[in-house]
Amino acid sequence: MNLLEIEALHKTFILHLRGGLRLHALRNVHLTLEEGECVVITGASGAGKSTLLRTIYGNYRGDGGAVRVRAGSEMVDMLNSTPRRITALRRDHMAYASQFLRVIPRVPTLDLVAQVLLDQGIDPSEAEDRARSLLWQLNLPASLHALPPATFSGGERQRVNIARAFVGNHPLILLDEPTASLDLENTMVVRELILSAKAAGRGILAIFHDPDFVAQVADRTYSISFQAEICG
Amino acid sequence: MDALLPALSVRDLHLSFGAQPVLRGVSLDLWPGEILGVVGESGSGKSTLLNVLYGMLAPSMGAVQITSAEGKICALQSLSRHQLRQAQRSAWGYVYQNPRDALRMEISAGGNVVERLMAMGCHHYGTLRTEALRWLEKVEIDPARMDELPGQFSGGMLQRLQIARVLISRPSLLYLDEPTSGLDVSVQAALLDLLRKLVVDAQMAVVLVTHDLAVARLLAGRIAVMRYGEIVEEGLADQVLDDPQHPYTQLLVSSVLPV
Repeated sequence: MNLLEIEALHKTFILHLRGGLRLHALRNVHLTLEEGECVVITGASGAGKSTLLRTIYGNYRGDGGAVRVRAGSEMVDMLNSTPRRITALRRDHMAYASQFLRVIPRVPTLDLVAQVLLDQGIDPSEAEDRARSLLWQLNLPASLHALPPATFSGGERQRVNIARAFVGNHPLILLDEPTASLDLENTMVVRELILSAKAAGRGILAIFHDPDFVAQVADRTYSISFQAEICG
Repeated sequence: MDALLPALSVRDLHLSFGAQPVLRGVSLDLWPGEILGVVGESGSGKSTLLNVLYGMLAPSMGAVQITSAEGKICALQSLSRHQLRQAQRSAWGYVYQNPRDALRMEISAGGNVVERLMAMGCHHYGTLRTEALRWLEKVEIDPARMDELPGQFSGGMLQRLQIARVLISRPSLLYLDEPTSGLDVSVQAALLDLLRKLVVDAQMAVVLVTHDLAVARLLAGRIAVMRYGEIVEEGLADQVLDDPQHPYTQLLVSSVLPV
């Protein structure tokens, strides 16, 4: 069963402050992702790997083609969905971790992770338990749970982001270099999270740069070779 | 969780001050539990829009339809003066940028907090006192200061007092006009988190007017960008800010100074 179907996806940025400069970032992307599968996007820097993930998540607006995400028995096209529909898809069906953590300052780490579950309607005590145990698994000790991540190291923040992406059991997980600032031990924890998510039938589309890591988690790779081009 | 009808539905609002148009064809829908951020520079019509939605200004054209928490649908224009006053004191809330515009500085903090309850017919002293204490706690004001006059409070405390005073009636529609812009940055963050929690818990529908894009990103699910009284772009908050489509939104986003 497909969790994600991308067909002839195009994305062009029009830079109005640069005299309407058109930047073709994605051209004719075709990709499907099945349950239990991990696909790694490869390609040179600037090829559009992050742009692809962001367009799937609805952070960027695709201009042509289709991005269909499974929501139960139906496939929902992100390009034709209202903001309200996309918000619901993100809540229940699709999670995304970028390299940056953007959250309300001064909110404790545990609450940031548990909020994902509260939004899904899970009761507060179960949400906290699940958030806590995932943070432990990611080697973030209890002493850090009550603190907001503002004072955390880059690697610690990154793990908060990973926890937020995995805690909600979303069927589709998009990961943009989640291991970039992690040490070996924590990279192995992420590997375990990916493998058990796959075993549970969830699908993962990710960007990783370490070829050894890719070999350990990926079922196949998808290469973007297209270089963004500027047309006047 | 997913209500069928929007709590607020606005169609083609127009308003002019003399020859000067201040709202030009504004349409929007807002569902319970949703926060819509309205951004744009001063003079773009953001606060005027809030005033129209709250029933303080009549539009020259257009319709505002409101669905109450009980599912009753009404047109803002059809409300009598009395019904409008009632709604403004209980079912709807308006938080001003300057708390001194809303608070009654000559009565105690506790008295300010329970004014709406009294207007709604609750006069039992014990109940009012308990509710005042509960709401002061919710907005993190020391309940021991309940009997003080607001004049002795800091700016951040005044804003929290105003929020308690408005939210105590559990409004289903809440209008926030630059609620954090008069505050120190340190107080802003705590207030944002507090607002978010209260709004989510009560499944209010919120219109948040702000010129601060960072505040809009953190608090709002959707953003509408206004310029010259017109919504030029509307969409998911992170999409509008990270992939702005309209030239004006691109200018707005690219003009933010990095921290």
